[in-house]
Amino acid sequence: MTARITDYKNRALVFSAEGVNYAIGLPYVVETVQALPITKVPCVPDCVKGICNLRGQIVPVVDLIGYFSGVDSGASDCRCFLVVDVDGCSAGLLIDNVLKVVPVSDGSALGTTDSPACGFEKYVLATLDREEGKIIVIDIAKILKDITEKR
Amino acid sequence: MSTIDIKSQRFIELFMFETKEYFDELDGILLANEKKDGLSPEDIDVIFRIMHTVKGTAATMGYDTLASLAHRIEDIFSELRENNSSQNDRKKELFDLLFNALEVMRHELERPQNEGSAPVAYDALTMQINKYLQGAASMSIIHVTLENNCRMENARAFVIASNIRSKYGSIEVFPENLENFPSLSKYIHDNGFYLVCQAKDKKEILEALLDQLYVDGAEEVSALPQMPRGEEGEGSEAQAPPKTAQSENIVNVHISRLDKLQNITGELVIAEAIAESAIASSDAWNEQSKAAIRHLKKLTDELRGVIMSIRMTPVANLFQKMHRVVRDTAKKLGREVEFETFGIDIEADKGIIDMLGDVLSHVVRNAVAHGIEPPEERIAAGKPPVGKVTLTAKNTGSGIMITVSDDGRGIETKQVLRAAENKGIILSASHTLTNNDLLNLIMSPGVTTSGTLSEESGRGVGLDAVREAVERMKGRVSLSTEDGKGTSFFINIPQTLAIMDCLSLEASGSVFMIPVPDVYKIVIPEREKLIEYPDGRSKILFHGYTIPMLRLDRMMKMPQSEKEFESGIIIVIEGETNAVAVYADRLVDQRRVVIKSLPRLLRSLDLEKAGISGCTILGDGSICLIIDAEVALSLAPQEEKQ
Repeated sequence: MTARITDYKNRALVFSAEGVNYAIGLPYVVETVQALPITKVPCVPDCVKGICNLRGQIVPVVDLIGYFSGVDSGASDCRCFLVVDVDGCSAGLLIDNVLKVVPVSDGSALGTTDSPACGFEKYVLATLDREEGKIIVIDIAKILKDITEKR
Repeated sequence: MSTIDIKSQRFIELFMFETKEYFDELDGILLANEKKDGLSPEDIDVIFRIMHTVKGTAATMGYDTLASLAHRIEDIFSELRENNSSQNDRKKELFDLLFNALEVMRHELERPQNEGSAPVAYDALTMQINKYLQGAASMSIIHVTLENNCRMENARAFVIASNIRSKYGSIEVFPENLENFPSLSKYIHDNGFYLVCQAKDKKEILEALLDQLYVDGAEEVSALPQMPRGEEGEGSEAQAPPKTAQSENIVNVHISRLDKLQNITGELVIAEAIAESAIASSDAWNEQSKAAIRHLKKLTDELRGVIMSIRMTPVANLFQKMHRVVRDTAKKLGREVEFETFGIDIEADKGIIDMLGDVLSHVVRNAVAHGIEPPEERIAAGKPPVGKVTLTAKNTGSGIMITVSDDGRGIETKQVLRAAENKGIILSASHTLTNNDLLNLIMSPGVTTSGTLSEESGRGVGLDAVREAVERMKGRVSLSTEDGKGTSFFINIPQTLAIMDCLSLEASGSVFMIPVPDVYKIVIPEREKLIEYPDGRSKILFHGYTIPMLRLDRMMKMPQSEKEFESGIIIVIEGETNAVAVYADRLVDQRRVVIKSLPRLLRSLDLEKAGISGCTILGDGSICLIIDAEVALSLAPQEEKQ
């Protein structure tokens, strides 16, 4: 279930959220869209902001940063959605900006994990040290799985 | 054999299409197994089922020859099912027979049914099947040739065969119906004809044949030759399949593609609404653009209608399957049952039809097993010994109603009560049960009215599953029964699950939908009928009862609205045993919506328990959640015993 660096096809999409650069394996990425109106849904974890209508497809919106920090990041209005699909389970992630696509097969992909918060490490596949700063490669499959199973 | 007098072109097309699919499947199985050690038990089962289905549908559609062919092949397979080893030494014969049969049946399927009797190939095949069934060892085939100049060969052969038959009893002649087909003369002249007889009589018959007039020679052969397939028969040109083969007008499409098409249409409607509002608020809003928008709307409406109609499937096939259920159950239990179906052209969404299959089997099986009495009992009660079960489909406007009626003994209230008591279901002192109460009881898990358990029914599981399944389809089950006269089950279901009429309710500024079939009553709130408890729960007085009231805003975990109680609206939802009132700020409107399921991520969060069954996209592109009435009922505190 959990994707490892080898199944990335060696590329990751870098995006920024709350000032931190994250990356997600490119095969999971469907598209990036401008923020859409969100319909709130009761009885879901705080990190699930609701659902949106992506051209007729109903997509849940997930606040990644809220999930990592355990608190509502409160900024669900101004950003764009990074739509991902993990084994047919789709989600729109709230992000600030898409930056670029990077290869992750080089040595830096296996850098140490000096992750910020406790409990967050398990989602970190690698930390890339690039000129523009640190990029945290996260394991989106595991995150979505944990969101649904934590209840 | 033709029972239902439906000849509508569409059904025939569908029938031909499906039957062809079955034949293709059969072809595949045969080809895959020919080189192996014969057919596996699973394959035998599959072929048996295919033949059974073909038999049933062909008979319904009036393809009698095809039906009887399928019936004969079914015979072979029912024997193979019991004695699989019998195929081993006769594998080649079996496969030859089956391939031949398949070809004959394919021809038969495409032969217009109003053109005369069965082709020659049919007779040959029947004979081949008989021979197979009776076992090669006991049967002999005798090839008879006639003198070259005898003329009227068919009549001669007929006379010869009759003479032999009068002496040796059951003898089959190929081609059959010799006397009726003068055109067979040429075939007999060229090829002679064949007799199939008991092996023990073989020698005598051979001798007797040579004594007959015009017989040139008679000898035993090991197998029937490849049979002519109507080409030699009467009017062979006329029998060639018409080039406008009807089934070619049908395309097989996977349901997922239809789903996708439906989604796209949904988007189109939304895009149209957005475009309309954009144009309406711009300078371009003139007569011309208005007309264009009107036209666009008409087209999208039409498109939606077409897509819905594609998903619609007639109940005919489903009903057809019930014939089998009735037959099997009746046979096992020694009942005599006449089964009739009405309204087989009524249509419902494919999804609904699929879900209905199990439900109907249960109810129909019950009607035969519990409803219809054994023949002796029926005669004693002054009824005809053959019971009657009818299955009817009807359009009701909001959906379809399926009725399963029997003229059996009815449901005995006392027995149900006893069974319920045994199961520990407590009843109030007054034992005047309404049909509805009775239904609730017999649909409770574990309650059975049958004295004995059987494979068919009597375990008390089943009806509760029926109810559950029907409720999943947003339908309702009801019942009427009369002691000694019979029972009818009514299953009311919507025609489609994808589109449903919903009431939209506003609570705390958000709009929610509730399917109209779930709504029992809409009530204007009155302060004096509201009972508020200190713990925050509240109830309302409704028709002399107090029923729990849920606030929609609270149910949906939203901030409570500041609105005055009496300016809101109350929707009463009625369940089997309880009812609940749902309070909302405003009743917005009623509209027909396309119901979408929630995304997978949310489905795995058990959102159903939160009272959301799905969602829909409104004209402006916003999403609206659909309230699950069942959950609302279960959320309400259970009614205290009074």
